Amino acid sequence: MTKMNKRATKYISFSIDGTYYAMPVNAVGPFIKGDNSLPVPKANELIKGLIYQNGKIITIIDSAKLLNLPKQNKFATCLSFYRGEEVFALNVDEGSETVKSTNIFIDRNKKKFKKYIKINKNKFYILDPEEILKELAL
Amino acid sequence: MISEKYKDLYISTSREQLKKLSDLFLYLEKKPNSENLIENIFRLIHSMKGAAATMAYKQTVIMFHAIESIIDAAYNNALEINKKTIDSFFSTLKVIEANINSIAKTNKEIDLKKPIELLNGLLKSKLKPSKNAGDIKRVKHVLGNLPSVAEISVSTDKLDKLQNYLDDLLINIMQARALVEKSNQTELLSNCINSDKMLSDLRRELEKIRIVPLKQIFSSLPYLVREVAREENKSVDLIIEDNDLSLDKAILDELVDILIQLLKNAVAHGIKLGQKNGQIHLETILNNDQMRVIVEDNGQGIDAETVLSLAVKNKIVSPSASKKLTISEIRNLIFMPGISKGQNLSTSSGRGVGLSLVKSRVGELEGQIKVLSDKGKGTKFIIDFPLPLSVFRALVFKIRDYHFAIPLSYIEQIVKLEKLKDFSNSKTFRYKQKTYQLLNLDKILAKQNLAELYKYLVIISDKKRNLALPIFSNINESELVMKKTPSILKKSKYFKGVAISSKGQPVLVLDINNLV
Repeated sequence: MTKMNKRATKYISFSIDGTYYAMPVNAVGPFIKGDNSLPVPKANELIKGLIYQNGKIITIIDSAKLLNLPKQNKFATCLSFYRGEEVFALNVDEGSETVKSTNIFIDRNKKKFKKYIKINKNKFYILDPEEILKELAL
Repeated sequence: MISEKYKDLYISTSREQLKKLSDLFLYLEKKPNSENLIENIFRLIHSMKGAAATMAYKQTVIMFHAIESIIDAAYNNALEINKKTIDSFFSTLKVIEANINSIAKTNKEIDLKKPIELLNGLLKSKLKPSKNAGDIKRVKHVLGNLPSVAEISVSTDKLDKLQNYLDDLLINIMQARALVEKSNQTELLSNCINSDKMLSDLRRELEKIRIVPLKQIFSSLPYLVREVAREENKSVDLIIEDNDLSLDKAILDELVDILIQLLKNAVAHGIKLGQKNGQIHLETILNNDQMRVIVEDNGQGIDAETVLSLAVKNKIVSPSASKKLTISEIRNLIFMPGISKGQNLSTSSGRGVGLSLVKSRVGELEGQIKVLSDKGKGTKFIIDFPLPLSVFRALVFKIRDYHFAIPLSYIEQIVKLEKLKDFSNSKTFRYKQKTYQLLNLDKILAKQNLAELYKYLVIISDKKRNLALPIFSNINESELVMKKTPSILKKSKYFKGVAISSKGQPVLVLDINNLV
């Protein structure tokens, strides 16, 4: 495990399939309901579908496939994030609080999303929006 | 000094006036002795001087005064309008433009000492004894002509936001109306219908604000061609046929950038040095919901052999692969970045990126560009791009878990089949003595090993072909509101984009042209 830097950063935390994750707070929007999405034929397999909310088309990303989880996520809660004016959302099990951390670590056992922070001895893996969108080849 | 709040108005008015001035100079070049033209130029310069004085841009006032004096001398036959004078006028246009840009960015004029000296020098060196001094009457232009406060300029970003809010309001009203229709409350329904109508009127007015005649934006292109031709020492005329078309300002701005590159390319690489009848023809045509833009020159054409050898030299294509390319593929190599690197480098072109950028920008408009050219026979670029849909009626249907829509403007008729039919092994269908080519959505949907049965056939409205699309069920007509296409759909040529139904559900809008 490697210590990366000491700058304090705020994150929104959430859980998926029993594991804690965090996303930098400056990139995220609100938690939203992402059920009944419109599937898109021949889209990247990580795309669950499209929904329409608050005047925007939102692309829902399947977190189970993104993170290679064995269990299919059944919950409709999604955490939205932005790239420019476009909105994406990742389905999560449960949204949690804002956390702060100064140190970022790297888990070399993971192939992707290796960075994590430690809050009360728990690891929160950082899901960086740009890294997520790279997986979608966008 | 006039308040800062008038600065934006001054800038937008000055840019409009600058365009008019460049048009007038272009006409003057062809008719240097036209008193009417000279008088119009004088009035315009006088007006621009007045506006600059009101804004306390002192150097700008002095510069316009110098130009005014030259025009005044020309009007009184004390100065001859010849090629050198015209060239000086066009050089001054560049200075005026740079000055406006500087004021817009920093609220400061650029250093105008040198241009003013040059103009005064021009006046002194060209002055000849006036034949009819004192006899010419000239209408004095009234000073104090402040930019009109009845007009404002609004950015397309702000119009986009307003459009978005209106779209969402429309969707909400559509949803409310659907609920009210179910509840049978006639008074409430009447209210909803009125709100719907008012909102539609509002949307239409907003759309009108955004729509700009192509003529307005294209008017600066002859000047551009003239300047590029002058740099390249060539003689080129630009003929524009806009067919009185108008377009959304945001799209027009993108299109003009594309055209500027194509026109520069036509002058620099198309028209030969020494060619006396150099001509570029720019035409825009509306074809259903597509706009076609043609840029054609009567120059030397594209030599496929030269393009191929450049492609091999610049390592765009390997020598072995180059032998297998068709003529059309060879021509399309001109759109590859780096193809013309180092060739005929000029200030206008030759750095190898121009046409590749054009292709990329045409792609951003969801359009396509092709080139037709042979050595010695000129070059023709054809750009086709779809006009954006906004609110439209469509046929909405479901296939498996997917919801699709086809704009009603594409549909001629919907035929209900007498019995369910399996079209999986059919390529055509016969109906009322016509044979229709069947479209299928296999290109979009993963093929299933089930024989699917269809109940309806949608006859597509197409002048050249007889096309039909089989549909099974969940078919209904709906008003849809088009939204911005998300990134995941941009690479797919089968969809025009995503629209929202009255139920607030997204629907994929099919691009019938690409399903054939």
